[in-house]
Amino acid sequence: MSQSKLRFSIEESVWLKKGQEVAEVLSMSLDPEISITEEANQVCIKGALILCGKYCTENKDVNNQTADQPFSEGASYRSLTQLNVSGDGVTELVHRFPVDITIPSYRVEDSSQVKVEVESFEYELPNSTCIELSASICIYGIKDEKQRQENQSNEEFNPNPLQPEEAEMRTLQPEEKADIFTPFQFEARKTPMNSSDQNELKSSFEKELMEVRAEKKTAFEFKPQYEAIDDNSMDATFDTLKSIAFSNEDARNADLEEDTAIDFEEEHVDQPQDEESLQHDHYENYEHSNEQPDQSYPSYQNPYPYQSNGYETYSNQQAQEPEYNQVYHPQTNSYSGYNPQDYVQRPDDAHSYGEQEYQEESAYEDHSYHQAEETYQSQYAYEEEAEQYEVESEQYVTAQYEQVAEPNRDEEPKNENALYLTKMLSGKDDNFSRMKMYILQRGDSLEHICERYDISLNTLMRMNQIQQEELCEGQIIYIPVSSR
Amino acid sequence: MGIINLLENEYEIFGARWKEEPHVLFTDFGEKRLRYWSDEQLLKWHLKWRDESFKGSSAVPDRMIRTRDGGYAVFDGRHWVTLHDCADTPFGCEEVGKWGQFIGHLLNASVKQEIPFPVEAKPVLDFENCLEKLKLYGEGNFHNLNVSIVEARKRIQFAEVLQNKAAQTPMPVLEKEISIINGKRIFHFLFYEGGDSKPVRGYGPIRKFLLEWLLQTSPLSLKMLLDEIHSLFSLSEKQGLLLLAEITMPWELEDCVNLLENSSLEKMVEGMNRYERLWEDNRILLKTVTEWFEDNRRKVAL
Repeated sequence: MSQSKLRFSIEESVWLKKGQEVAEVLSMSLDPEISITEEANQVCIKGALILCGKYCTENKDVNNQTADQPFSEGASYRSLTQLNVSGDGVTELVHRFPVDITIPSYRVEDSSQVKVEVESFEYELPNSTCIELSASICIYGIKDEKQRQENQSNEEFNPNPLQPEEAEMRTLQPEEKADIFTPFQFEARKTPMNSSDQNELKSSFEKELMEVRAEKKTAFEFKPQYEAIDDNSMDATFDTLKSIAFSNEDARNADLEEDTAIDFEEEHVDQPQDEESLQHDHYENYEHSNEQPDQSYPSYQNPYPYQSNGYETYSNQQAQEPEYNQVYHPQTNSYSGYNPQDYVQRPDDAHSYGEQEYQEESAYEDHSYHQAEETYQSQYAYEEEAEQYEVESEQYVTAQYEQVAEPNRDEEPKNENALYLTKMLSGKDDNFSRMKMYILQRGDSLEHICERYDISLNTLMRMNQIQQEELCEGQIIYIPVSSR
Repeated sequence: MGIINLLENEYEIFGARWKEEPHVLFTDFGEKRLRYWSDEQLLKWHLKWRDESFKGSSAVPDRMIRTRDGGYAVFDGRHWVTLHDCADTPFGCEEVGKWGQFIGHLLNASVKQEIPFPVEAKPVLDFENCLEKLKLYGEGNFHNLNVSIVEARKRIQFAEVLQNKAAQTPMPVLEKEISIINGKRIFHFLFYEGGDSKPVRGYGPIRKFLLEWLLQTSPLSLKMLLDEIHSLFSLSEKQGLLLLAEITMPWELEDCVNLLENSSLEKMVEGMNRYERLWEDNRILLKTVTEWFEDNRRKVAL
């Protein structure tokens, strides 16, 4: 059987400290050091991509300058990059890009045939303190979706027929994640230091210390490509249909103060009452769900009808008619989940359902916000790490996530409040201790990811600081994973 | 008196002889097509849409050639007979603008139909009936069908909401089949050869035409076609919603069920393959049209 490959492209920038500037690159290579294991229903591809290079530095006194850092700073900083300077001024660079990719075993016919190769590797020196890397990594021996479906047709019914092609990268430790997927920068410390201190440092800390500095939001970029591209996604189409079907353009100029959610409800209440259709039942159900948000939200996280399996739904339909309501029920809830993001970009319709919910629950606002804030800070270990660095050395800015998340929290306090309320209504504590990385595939949707990892859409959007419209193939989505 | 003599007298044509008896004639004025009508009301309906959609358009339908007395038909004792121009050269899909003009004018004419004609009720997709029939094939494990049921259900719900949004809006009454192959070239004109079938209410014929267009061209071309239609016949209002609802409705599911019904295993598998292709084609159509509507909405909003 011919097999397809999963291809990632990596773009990264390495910044060097003063005194470590590149005068001439002697060699540069990127090699995989990977082990492949099979666990339960998953094939784990773990290891690292090793970036090795040798270059001549411009400054011969690099040792003196870079060793100026206090030891405490160096120890507190866990660099993944090593610089070894030899006597002739040649600096050896070694950096590991940890890799932890999990692939469902149904996508792999024989794990022994899975191999990871660096298909292409290029680097550029825009200036002497920066090395820009770009590489294409291929994982061979993975079946594409079409092949999988062909196999499936000969097997028993698959309870999850629309499961998309996926490759997920998981970081085992949060702090590791922060380091791995953060562009890094090397800087020299210019603090004066006497020679005895230098010797002490040299003996105890032979390696050069470097600093990882966040440079851009998504520096470590994966762009998975399948040989056979099959665009099966209708999510975007349904989103658009939803916005068209439930838009209130006819009344756009009438009364903007009127709540959109109420319009939606009324519109459905106005459906012909004599219709014995499922639609009628659905609308009743929708109203019901509005009245009892505490109950409705959990179902929002439950099977999304589009992703559920047709046969199952069809069977349920046979068993009992009300099942239809249950199937459509999550859709209505997902609609309520869509609104906040949809209307962010539509000022005319700013009165979204999500905000209405927020207003209704305003009594809980303060409590929930602070509670969530505490959770936010205490549960992201890597973020704690980042804050710790700031305390120890104000010049160190290490965590990409910290840099990305903080400004947005300030920019959109109202949204955050609303989202935290929603989270509270879900009845779940965000007791997350690690993050998974999910590479968006063609056909994926946030709803699908939420359903799969059992987290709320709002949490996912908040964690990633994204809107539904911003998604694109190859984008990395961070998925908080509960420690429980 | 034979039909040829009757036509020569009434239409002042000469040298008429059959090319394809009894439908196509050679005459001194070129080839002419004959159509026979037993229902005068149906004839009038077809006369009307042809005349109306001709106005102001560089795309022309095959109007009824008028007799020397200005009549639109002659009666041969059994039928009403109409005479039409006839062309053989296909027009193709390259000139999107002319097709758009034709469809736009056609829709304008068909929405304000003034000729009452007992049109068959707009077909309704009976999803529950489909599910009921599919129970019989539950053991068949037709993966694609199982998957598409979920999506079909969702599409039906959207279509119903869209239809309800445009409730009380007059539906166009159109020929049952509008097809690219009926478009012929006469010089630089798009000459559309209409039919003589009973009209149907709704956007079904337009949906089929758009699907045919998509399959012969590309999504981009389809969007251009919609732009052209929209310039003459506004799709940004309720008529547009009706069109979108029609395209959203998964009609192909019903076709599939009908194919499965009372079929041998071989035919069922063949039907499923056909259904799969049809399903995917309609998905692309829905995607493209939805994108166009969304783009158009944004333009309006801007």
